[in-house]
Amino acid sequence: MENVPKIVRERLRVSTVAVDHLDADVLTAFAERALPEAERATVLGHLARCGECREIVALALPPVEAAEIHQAPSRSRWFTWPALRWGFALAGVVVIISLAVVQRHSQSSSSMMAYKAAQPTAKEARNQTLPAIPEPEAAGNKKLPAAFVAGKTADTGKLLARDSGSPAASAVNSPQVAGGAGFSRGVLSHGPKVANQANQFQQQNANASVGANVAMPVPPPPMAKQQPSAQLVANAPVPAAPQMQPSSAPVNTQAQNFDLKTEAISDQPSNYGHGEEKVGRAKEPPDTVVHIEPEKVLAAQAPSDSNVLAYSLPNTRWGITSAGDLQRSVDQGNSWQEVNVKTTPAPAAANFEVMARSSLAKTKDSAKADKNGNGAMVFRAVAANGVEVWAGGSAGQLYHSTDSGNHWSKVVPSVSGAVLTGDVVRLDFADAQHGRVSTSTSEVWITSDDGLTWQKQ
Amino acid sequence: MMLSKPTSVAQSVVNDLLAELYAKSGCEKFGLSHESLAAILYEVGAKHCAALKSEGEVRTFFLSLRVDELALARACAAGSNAAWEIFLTRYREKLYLSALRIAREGSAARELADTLYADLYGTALRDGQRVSKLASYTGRGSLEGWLRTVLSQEYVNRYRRTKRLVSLEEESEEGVQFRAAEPEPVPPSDNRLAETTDEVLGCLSSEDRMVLSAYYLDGRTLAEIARMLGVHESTISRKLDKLAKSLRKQIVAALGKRGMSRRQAEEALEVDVRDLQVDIRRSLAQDSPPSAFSEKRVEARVREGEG
Repeated sequence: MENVPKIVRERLRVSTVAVDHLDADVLTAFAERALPEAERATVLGHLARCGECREIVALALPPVEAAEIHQAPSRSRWFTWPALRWGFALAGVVVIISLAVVQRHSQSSSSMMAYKAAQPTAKEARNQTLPAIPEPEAAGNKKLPAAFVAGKTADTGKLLARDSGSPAASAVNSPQVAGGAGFSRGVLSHGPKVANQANQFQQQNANASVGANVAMPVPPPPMAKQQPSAQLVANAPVPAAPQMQPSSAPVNTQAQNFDLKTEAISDQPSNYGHGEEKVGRAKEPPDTVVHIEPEKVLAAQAPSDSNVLAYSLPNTRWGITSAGDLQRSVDQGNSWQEVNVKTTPAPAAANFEVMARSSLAKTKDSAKADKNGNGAMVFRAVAANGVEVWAGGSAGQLYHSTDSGNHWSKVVPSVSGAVLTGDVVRLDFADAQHGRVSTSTSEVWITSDDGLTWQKQ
Repeated sequence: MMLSKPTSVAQSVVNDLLAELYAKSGCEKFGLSHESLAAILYEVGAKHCAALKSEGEVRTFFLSLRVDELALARACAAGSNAAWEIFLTRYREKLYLSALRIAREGSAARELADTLYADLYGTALRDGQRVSKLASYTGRGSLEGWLRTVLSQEYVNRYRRTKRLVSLEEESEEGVQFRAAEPEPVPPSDNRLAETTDEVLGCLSSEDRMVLSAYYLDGRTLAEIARMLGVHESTISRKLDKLAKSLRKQIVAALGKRGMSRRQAEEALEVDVRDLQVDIRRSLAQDSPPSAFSEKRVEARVREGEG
């Protein structure tokens, strides 16, 4: 990698001019890409010459969340060309194989049904002199599965019966089709009638077999035992393939293998050799595919007496013990730690409250008075969404953390003077902004801005 | 076409959009009236809409404002208790965490955050009125981002002030641990190289120039520059690679037009101008009496450069 000539650096430095710096609003809007193009170009022109403003923009960048770091490798790995190239190739192979399997199944079932439909007539016709039915291969119907060659059709029939479950398919006993295609083409003397019937059955069975054998989605397994006060949020990437439980097992296996293979593709380092000390990104944690089997996880990894679980980050679990204590695990449930929501007041706020009004001073006093950790707090519900965690319990206590439980703020939903009372028994947060709090007094409080404002139903 | 009275256009757009913006802002929670919000929006429009050319652009500008956060900030600046409770609930932790990330050290972060809180709350008085920094937030970006930017500005200002305040005893030591101010630009022996380089750099786009400056002058990583510009890291890498190659070619070509041969031009690019001047200064320093502080600073920089 080539560096710029030293004279270029020198002249860049020299051309730095002292101008009025940009105000915080404009810099923020620039960093958030909220400026119109013309203004953005003006700001870029300033930043090209003002090191101080560049430094401010760099310092003011939002933090890269742990979840983003954990997910970024999989996102970027999915969309780098090497991964995409192999992905396309494997996807193509999977598609071709699945089409072939589907076609074989559908043709075999349609042939079977055509044979069955034509059988009485075929018997009759056989008693007359039937034209020789060509072998599938000789007839050029290469699509007929080998199983339809005489002697092996019973197995195929059984396969169809198991897979499709259609009465028509299961009724196939001893098909002796040596040229199913012949029937479907109306080769018999009772040709047209047979062909029509065969076509009808063929059509019906084709539809049935397609419905039975291809893309039969099974509802995904329940992600967690849904307790009344539990809300599961799994942020880890879940491959789509395991949720499909088609009858064509080989295809699905291939899909799973595809997922694992693409996961195994290592990311190209972005080290392009731009100087020794400037090179490289932070080391990324090894990417893992998270296959959630919730029931097994719950059984094996829940706190011993927990009855509530919520998932936030891939390794982080939240739970509430039967005694109402809030617990967190950062190692996928192998060990649990009790979380104290009242021991992490921000030092800045403690100083600020000296100047604050009475309502703020009350908060400080109540925090000081509570010297026993969570005091008499009994938690009953917890919900986690990424780094956002909500926990609620007795007497309307509701706490919110924006950093996976390291710091907590107490939230008091109120509207028109009415305050949330009653025990919080359920928390539902679909995302960071939208949530519902249900209480023991049948109240439901809703927020759509991360707890800033509330409406009561 | 510039409008003759942009302020009145902004006001008329505000009047049109007031109901919609008021509903979005949640002003009623803080006791802000329609008139108060209108006054705030007039002020924002006066500050930022002067350069906008059409009513459509002005409308787009106001619709893109984060009026909910603007209302919260201005309500806090006005001293609304309800607004402060919401502000603290929402931003207290984030502000401290941002200060910690910027200052990288607990006590410095706490001090930085506390200082900003004081400015946000408005401990300063002007004409008997409390002056809150939140009154300068205009809603163009997010309030959280604005708070981080203000923290960064405060940090950079402090660092600059701290840099200047160095004791004489410390100055008399080697002094290499204190980054000296940039020395006077040293004129190269051949002006053609500098002039040509300036010409070529002048033809670069602002973004390219910014990327070069951030990388080579500020020492930012590819990832940081990418995040500053909102692009992927590989885009910055490719851009820098391309720029390095093209700058060299363009400078050599331009020097050729100024009468240098290709070989001379390439040799000129390989020579570090500073190295030439440093040698001269060193030989001058050996024959001179004990150097004053300012020259010592240059020598310290020379030693640093060699290292």
